[in-house]
Amino acid sequence: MESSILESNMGDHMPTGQRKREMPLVYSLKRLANFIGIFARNPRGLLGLFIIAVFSTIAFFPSLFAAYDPVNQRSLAGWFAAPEWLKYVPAGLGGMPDLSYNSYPLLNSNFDNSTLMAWNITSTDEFAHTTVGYEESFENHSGVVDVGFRRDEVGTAYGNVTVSLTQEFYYQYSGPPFSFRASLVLLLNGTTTTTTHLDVRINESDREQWPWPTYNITVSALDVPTKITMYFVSLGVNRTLPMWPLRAEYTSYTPHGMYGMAMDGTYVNSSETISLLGSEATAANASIGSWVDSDQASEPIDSNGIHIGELVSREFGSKQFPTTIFFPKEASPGWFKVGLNVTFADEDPSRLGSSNLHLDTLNLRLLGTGWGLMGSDQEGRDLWSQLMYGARISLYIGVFSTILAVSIGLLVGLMAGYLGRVVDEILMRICDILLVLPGLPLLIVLVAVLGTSINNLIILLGALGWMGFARLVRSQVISLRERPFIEAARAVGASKTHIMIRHILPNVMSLVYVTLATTVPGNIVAEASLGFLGFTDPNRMSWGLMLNNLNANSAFRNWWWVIPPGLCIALVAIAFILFGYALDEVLNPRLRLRR
Amino acid sequence: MGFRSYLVRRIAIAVIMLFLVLSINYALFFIMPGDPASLFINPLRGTAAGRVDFLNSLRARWGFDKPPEQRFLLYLKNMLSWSFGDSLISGQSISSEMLLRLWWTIELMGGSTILGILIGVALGVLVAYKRGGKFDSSIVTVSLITYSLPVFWLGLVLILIFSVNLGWFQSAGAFPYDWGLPGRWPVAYTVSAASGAQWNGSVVMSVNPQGTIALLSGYIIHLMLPLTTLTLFSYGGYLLLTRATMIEALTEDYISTARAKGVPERSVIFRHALKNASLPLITSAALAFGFMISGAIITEGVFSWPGMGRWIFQAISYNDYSVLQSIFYIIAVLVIIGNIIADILYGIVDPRIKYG
Repeated sequence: MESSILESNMGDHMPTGQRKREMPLVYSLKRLANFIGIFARNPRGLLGLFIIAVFSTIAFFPSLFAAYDPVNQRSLAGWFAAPEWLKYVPAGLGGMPDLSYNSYPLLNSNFDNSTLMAWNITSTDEFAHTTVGYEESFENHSGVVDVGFRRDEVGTAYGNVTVSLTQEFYYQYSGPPFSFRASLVLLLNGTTTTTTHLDVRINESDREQWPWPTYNITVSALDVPTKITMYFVSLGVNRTLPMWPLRAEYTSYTPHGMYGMAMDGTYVNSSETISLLGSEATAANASIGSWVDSDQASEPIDSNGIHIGELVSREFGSKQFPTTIFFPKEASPGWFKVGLNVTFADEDPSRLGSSNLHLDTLNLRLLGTGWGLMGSDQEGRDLWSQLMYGARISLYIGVFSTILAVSIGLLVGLMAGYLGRVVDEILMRICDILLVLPGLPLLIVLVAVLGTSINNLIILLGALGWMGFARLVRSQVISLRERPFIEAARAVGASKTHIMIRHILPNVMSLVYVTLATTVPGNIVAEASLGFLGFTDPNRMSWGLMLNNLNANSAFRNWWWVIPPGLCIALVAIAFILFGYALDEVLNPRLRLRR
Repeated sequence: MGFRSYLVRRIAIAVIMLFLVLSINYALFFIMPGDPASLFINPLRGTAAGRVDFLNSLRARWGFDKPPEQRFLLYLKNMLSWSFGDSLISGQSISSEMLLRLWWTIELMGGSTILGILIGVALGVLVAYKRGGKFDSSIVTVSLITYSLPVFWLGLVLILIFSVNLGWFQSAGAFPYDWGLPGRWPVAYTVSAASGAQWNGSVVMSVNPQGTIALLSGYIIHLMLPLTTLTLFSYGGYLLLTRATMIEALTEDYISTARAKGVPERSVIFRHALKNASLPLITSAALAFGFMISGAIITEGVFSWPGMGRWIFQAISYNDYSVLQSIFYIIAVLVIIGNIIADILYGIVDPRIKYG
């Protein structure tokens, strides 16, 4: 009588009320064992349960499965990187043999004798007035290179004296890197300490025609004006390219949607000791054109009315990406050379003194076009980690909002069905009104107003999702209300609350379990939809947000980014549906004939 | 109680509901914190006093400076007269802006709803008839999967396959964007006055085959992907519903009776079973048409479809309350009307139903 399990499967164990009161624990354990026994015979239900278990494990312990922070660890690799394993898939099957991985040709965070020996050091004046050495520590920096210039006698000017440090490295991939980043710390003459990170990011592989990012630094606070350039030689084709003459407008202009330049690090822009010169030092730049905004029309035009695409072509013979010019196909894999020139411009023969330039952290990092199991997103974050951490948000919101919705629906349904009359009328009209309002737009409006925190999402999904279940419970309760056992309970003087909780509630619990399982998918999809539309907390990675990022960057061709999040949503949703149907079959055995 | 008095009562309840919805709709946007006027203010430009002046002039133009009861009356007048007032953001009249977008949504949502119902009901009847077999379980599984997939993901995958890789269809917009330039819209037919010495009032319509083909192909390559997405998304629900009610109907005694009488199988299925099984279908179809104009927010977003859904999304992004109020109101009216129509259809399909 209490539950359909008893009716159908426990006929011979049917306990009397007496026994039930005596051994509630044994009784419920037996009932549970019986339930598990029946459920275990349902392969679909077990499959659903297994998938739910897998995703729950991931949701509870995402750090076991993912090595990186899904939101905050940026530039782990190049942006929009492909999965690493695609390198080993034949090109005919969609493989990408030209993928490159992250590599670090130069890692000189601390110089000592051996790291300095690896550099090839030359000077135009054969070290007559210049010196290169290393110091164990300088201004809290351990291991720095000291490049010095000294003039002891008045006489003729030495002109430009250049000290160059070069190092060769082997680049082992056939395709260019996504970008490269070089860092250099300048420590000036012991009086001023300025840290510069020169961070060059040359283009992303599938976006075209970015202006040439070039840097040039002139250090004018020293006794002798000093200019530093870093350059890059491709030994295979014997072409030297400057790595950073800097553009003048870079210091004052923070463009958005700009992919050619790096925004990381600290740029010296208003420092007294270092001034950034752009316009005259970058004669080549003048023809490269102005900044291009990604929102502009497909063929951006520079201030001279020339198409940027043409300029790139004119400069390099054909339309190429800067990284493909730095790492040309015919020269890679192969040897490359990176060089640093320090030029002391000695023009005033009457001035005596010395210039000492301390260099530290001379690193070159090449960001790969391939990364990890699933590639990277638009900021170089690990997509696999995002997928793993996304499980947590989706399941959490899906499950808790469902519990809330079902609880509200149960309460409303019980009250409306059993109390009837005015209560029923009021509750059902509220239900009708909520059903008449458009669900998703209302949800979006409320989320936009109340905020996108997880708790808000749970409350809103719960508060807007109980109506159907309330109606179901109400109709069930109305039919139960007239049954003899309720009448009997009423006759012995049981209170309304008692009857509702002790007699009616157990009879609708099977509906509750089934609805719990079958409502979760809808709420997971609703959460993902909100995430996809951007109405979610950007600091909590969810599957919907992953797809939002993808859509916002039109990265549709990155199938490794498109497929997994949706597949996970679908898998979890189907698992809950299968589980719910299996529960339904066990708990409502009369339906078994029909299915 | 007869049908007429039932209808009167039903409409009376609907009117009360409508008034309640109107009030909630007003209250919802009245208590919302964001101020749409502030979107027009650039805090870096002009003087503080100038900004306040501008803010106040905007508020006056929108009627925000009036007391709440007057605003409510104005709102009621706008809604009930179906003129809706002006959009806060664009300043255009809402009804004219809606007309620009309504067609595209009707084309997309109407098409996919009809297709979804047709495919879902047809497959559902078939599956219910062959229930229990491999065919049944595979179709049910597939429809369960498509039903539980996120619709935007379905759209993205279709874009990936058919637009990015195969290049067959367009992934954005409802028509080629260059049609928007003057003189580029293909001309399918022209209507001109009949030639002759004296015009007798008749017109000549000449069809331009090239233009017709260009027009149709332009529409189809844009419509195909969103339409497929929405159809794939919607048919599963109808299929499962049809299957459940059909199985219930097919196990009834009158089906056995009909078969025993020698009624042809086709007639048993369609005239005896489906007719009795169609009541829940009518409800859900009527509701689907009610929610038609709001149903495609996400799909229209994915495919940059210039319809109502994207308008709703933009209105939310820009706090354009007057647009949202109008759309919510229209949806509520449509849903209420849809429910009434479903109730009336019940009586037509099933004469046993007594109104009351």
